[in-house]
Amino acid sequence: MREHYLQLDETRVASVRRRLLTLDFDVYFLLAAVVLCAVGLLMVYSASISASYLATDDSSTTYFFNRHLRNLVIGLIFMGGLMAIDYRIWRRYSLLIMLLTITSLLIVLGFGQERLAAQRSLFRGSIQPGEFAKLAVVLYMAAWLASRQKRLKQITYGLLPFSFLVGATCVLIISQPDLSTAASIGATTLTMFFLAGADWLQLGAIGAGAMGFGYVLATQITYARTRIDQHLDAIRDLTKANDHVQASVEAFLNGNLFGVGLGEGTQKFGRLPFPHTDSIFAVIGEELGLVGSLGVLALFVILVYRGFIIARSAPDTFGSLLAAGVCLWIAYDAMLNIAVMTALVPPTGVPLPFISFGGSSLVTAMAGVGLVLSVSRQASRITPPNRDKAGMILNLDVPEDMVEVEEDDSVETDSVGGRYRRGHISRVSRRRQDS
Amino acid sequence: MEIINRRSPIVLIWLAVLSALLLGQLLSFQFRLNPSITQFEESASTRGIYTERINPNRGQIYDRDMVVLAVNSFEYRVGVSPSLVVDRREAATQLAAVLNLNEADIYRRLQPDLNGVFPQFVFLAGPISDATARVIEDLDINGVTIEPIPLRSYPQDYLTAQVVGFVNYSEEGFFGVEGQYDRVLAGTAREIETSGTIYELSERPEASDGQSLVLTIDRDIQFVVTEVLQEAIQTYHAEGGTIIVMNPRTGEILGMQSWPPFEVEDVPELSGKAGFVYNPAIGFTFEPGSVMKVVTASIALQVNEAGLDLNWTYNNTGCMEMAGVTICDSDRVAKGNVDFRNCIIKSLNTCTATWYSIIGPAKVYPLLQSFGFGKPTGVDMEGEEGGIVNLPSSPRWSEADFLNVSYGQGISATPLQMLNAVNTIANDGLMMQPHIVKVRYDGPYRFETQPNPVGRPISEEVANAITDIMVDTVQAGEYDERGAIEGYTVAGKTGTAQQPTPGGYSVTDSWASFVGFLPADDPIISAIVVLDRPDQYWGSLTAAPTFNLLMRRLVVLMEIPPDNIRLQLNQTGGDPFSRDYVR
Repeated sequence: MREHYLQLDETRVASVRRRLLTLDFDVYFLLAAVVLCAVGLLMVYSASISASYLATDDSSTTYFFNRHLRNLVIGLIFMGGLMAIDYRIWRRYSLLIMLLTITSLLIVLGFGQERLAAQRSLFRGSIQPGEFAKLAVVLYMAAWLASRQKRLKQITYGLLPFSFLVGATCVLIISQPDLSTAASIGATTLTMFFLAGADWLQLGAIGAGAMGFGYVLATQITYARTRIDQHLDAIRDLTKANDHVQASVEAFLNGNLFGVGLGEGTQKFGRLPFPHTDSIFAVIGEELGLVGSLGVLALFVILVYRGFIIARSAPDTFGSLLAAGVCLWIAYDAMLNIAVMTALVPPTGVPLPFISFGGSSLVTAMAGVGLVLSVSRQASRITPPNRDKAGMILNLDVPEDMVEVEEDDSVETDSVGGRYRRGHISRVSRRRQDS
Repeated sequence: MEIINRRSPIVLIWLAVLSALLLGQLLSFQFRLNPSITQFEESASTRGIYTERINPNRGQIYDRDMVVLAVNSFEYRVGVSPSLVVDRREAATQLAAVLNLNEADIYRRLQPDLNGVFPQFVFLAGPISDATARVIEDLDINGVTIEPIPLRSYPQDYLTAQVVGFVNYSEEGFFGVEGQYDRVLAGTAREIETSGTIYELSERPEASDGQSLVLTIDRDIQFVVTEVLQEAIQTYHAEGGTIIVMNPRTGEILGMQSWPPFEVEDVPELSGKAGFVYNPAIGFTFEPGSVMKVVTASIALQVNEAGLDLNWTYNNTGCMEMAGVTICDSDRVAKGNVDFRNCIIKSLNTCTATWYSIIGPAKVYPLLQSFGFGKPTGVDMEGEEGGIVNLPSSPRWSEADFLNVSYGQGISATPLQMLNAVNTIANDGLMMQPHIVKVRYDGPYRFETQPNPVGRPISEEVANAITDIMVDTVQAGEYDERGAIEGYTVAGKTGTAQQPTPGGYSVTDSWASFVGFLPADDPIISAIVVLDRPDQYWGSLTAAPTFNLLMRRLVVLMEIPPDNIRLQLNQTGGDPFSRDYVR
């Protein structure tokens, strides 16, 4: 037997090993996401004990943990699936996906379950279309912006339709009412718009418009106004902050540098509202301390940074905008959540991506990671790591179906949806000139 | 692509700036860079920890046969946290149907206010019964809370309400045993500091529950007392009345009822009325009248001065001028030479007044006080009064008043005080502390109230002599013959006190009373009957027959054998008093 092994073809073994170990995507990006998910699993278990206890009539402490585990498996399936599939397929379906999302938002408004004074979910609270809308909007905006390219600077092609699209979606979500999701979507799409080449002047106009809109919201909508008033009081004096903010600041103070220890926190028992969803960062701060919360922050930084590297190396504008959009959305969500927990922003229910309990949020975030990894894979297939000093790609044996297709501006007439068309090999040279 | 590559660093810098803000805020917490953090920390140590009060169960109250007189149960109140209700309209419909409330009204109260903020808690209804609470619980509406309110129940209702007292909604006891033993019954609440964490729940300390009390009251005797009292009130058209039954040997109160009886539920309405006394047997004072003469005679024999003994005689003229006033016997007829015994038997005012003028106030008042007049008996019930005895040092005192006291006018006492004084005579001159709590149960420990002698105003010889006179008082042919019971030797005395009216005494309204005990040679049961304004003026015609009726029923109930059987048993060494409450 021993000798039989020795007789193995060494070169064959090396080849197989190389193929298995040569990962054709950005490993750091995946690692950051996976570690974040692992931290989330750990923290959801710790933070949800009390909630599980209450939800199951004192019979189980793992109710939410088990559900989170299930959500994680679903998320992994989505992530793996989307990673395996060429992301460019979604460009063709982006309009359909967007329409479906808008329909589901309308359904929520009409028939959704009212929870905590807001209608945000379907199917007895298990699905929140607002979360899926984030991904759908990113996907659609990437396709739409990619189809506009240089014409974006024309107001009628760029700013006006953009404002209408984003505005309509946000209004739908605000009416739930879910201000935080709308803010997250608004910020993400605006940044994507900027990335895709929006005119500085127009952006300034949008900024002014957004500020005006925000002012109207803050003064005219009582729901928003009371929140803002409370927050201004709290910023002046933390002892006057609302209970939620106080509880989370207490958690950070309890945690100090290294935390009270995993599972040892006490704020999660009734003191912090929603310890396993919205307030999970405060639980991390208490149990893992400043070091733990900075670690989580660092993981998000790595994730976003690697995501932008993927975006820059993406084979086409759509892929680039898609990767950047997913990263922006995750970054904005994470920052908004952490800002709420650190008393910078008035309390609003936004989950911490990958970490908070919540199926819709987790699955959507992991699906987003899958999409970015798919971009990364396609990028590595056409641009293997060996480049010359000038950045010119040396090996040009690009498979035909992998070739980037630029929309032909003159042919494109659809003002709303981008269209993906089979490319022709003759366009390769043009793409290379572009990049 | 080109523009994306060019602009992505700008976006990354933008994100980095935002992250730096968050980082700064996180560091500011730990390194106290924010000045309000220190201030916040100072108040943080107490935040999140709140004091939880664990209420003990109030002790129960039983009669001497462990029949429950006061017990704890629950009523419920229903409230809603509107923000937790899934379907407000449906919830309003269901709750309105069960609680008999206006559906639209409930629905309106479940709505948020103008700022879109839901009220924390909306109180719907309460107290509601256990059954209704169950129905609401079965509806299983999210956000609806059913909160128990402790409720004190008194299964014997009006029968024992006056002696037991009541508790209010804050579980504070008032009147009777509930008031007197409030702290004992209430137990001790435990206050624990809790942060509301789950794992602390198992370590909750138990509150120390209140002690349970067993009363000397016997529910059956109480029932007989109430029934006899009711019959007397109806027969003699009296406006009110009181009956107390005691064991003179131990001072135990076996039955105590005043007319009209009431239930605890009626107290709020009744207490608004002028002159309402919760338990008249201990809280209402009256001028006892001639029943006082047995005390006067005891004092005279005890002092035993100036030939004042059983052989003393005087010349009765019907009315006498004394201390500037005219004192008359009830019949105002001159009876010539009358001896000591007949002064009591015939209930002669002139005679007792003569005794007091011989003895003088200096010797009378100390003895009156040691008989318990002028101060509460200290019975363990809340709401006791002490009556009024005007001492010579008082500006209101006059010699005429002093002479009046000898036949029970110009002095006030509660029915219990009067019975207590007579009990002293029955108990061979030894005064026992009247009490109503027989046993106290503190968890596994049992504390029995021991008979407690509180004084000896008169000697045994004097007490026996007075008892003999009281026996003669109810003999056939005398005024008080209606108090006698066939087969038993009863010692008794009636009283007819004039009721004070503005500017003097009424000639038609009286306090008719009878106090007595049996068997006279070995008393085990004593009773006082007081009737307020019966249609016949004299106590001998109203209170005495009521006492008779009461005792005839009680000897059967308490299995007190007639004298001949009892004496026979005594000779053969048997115990004539088999039932517990007799000894």
